[in-house]
Amino acid sequence: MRALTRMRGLAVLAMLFANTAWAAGAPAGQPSTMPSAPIDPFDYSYCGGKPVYPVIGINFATACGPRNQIGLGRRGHLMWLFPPRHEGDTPVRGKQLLTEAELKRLSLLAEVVQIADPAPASPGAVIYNLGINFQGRPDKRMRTPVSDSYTPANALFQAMLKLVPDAPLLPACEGALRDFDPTLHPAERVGEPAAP
Amino acid sequence: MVWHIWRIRIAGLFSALVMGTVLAAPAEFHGLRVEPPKVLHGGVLLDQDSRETAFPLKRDTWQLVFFGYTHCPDICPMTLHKTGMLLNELGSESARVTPVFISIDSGRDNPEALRDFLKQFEVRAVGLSGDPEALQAVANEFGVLVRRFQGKTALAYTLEHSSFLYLLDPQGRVRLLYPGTAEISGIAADLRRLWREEGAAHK
Repeated sequence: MRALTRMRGLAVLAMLFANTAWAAGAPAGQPSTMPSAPIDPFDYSYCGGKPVYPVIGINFATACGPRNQIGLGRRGHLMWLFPPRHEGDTPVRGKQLLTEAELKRLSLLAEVVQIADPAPASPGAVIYNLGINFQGRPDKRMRTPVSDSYTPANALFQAMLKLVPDAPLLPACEGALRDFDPTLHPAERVGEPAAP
Repeated sequence: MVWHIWRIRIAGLFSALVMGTVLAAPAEFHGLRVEPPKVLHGGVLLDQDSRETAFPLKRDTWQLVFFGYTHCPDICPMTLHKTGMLLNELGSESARVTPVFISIDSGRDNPEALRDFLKQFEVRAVGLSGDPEALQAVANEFGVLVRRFQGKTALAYTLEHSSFLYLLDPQGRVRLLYPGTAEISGIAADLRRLWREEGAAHK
């Protein structure tokens, strides 16, 4: 049963990181959506049941920079994968089990992101794609820039980034701020439509 | 040399991100801010006196909303008790808040059951029930998850459910979210802060 739950968690994480290095290792043939029932164990905020955590996946980059990734797994592990600083180096990657307090904080922020309406889109120096999966609920996905104004998604992203001991690769870029898909290779981002 | 400049740029950008964390942290509230405030579509449910009631309530009050059911063994009674304590804490200002208990158990909860349940806690709360579709539609807007555990007889079942409290403003928008374990004093402090801000905005 635990193995099945773990496989489901891996499948969800793979969905959230579609087309990423992590997703490449996902087991083939996994369902593309979570089964409607039964769900076991239950959500982290609950009346009864065993707590687990939402799966969160974030891809982020500057317009000319490579893609960085941070994720939270169902069992409470924070994972990160940042590109190498020098050609030929290996990527910076890590994984650590978060404390109960840290997980509670991230889960609550994810809960708020889940119910909040998206903030008005605007260009930014750093843009992130965010995906959240709570068991038994539809996925939440958004693309938004990092800004110094409070939004639940910004708060979640920055709370996760603070827990990572390594620094992401976010080179400053020339030119006007614009919208882009951080999962794309920088060369492929040219011509991305501006945010509505 | 070039790499040195890049390192400075990267460090600067990362510092800006961390600084952004400080600026963006919703530390001023005890609850988690829903920004922009979430507008609800709502629905029509029945209150404990069997009156058709639009939710969010069409009243000029703030609403503290939570989901549960009358057969709930632990978290729902505790939340109602906590709500009563919050109203006590707010004293004369408590009239500005209406607690709203929404049943997620359309199989057993009706207006009469809700009225009896709420009476036990002596809390001035609105209890809402309704048909499964209407309740589900409202619960979905809050992302409330419910799972049923069947007992030995048809009506012997328990429900696991999300246990958050949601603070709605008088326009019926979700402004803050609290875990079920939130401190009364924190919710009261947040309300007073929001009222101050509201008062300042109207001046």
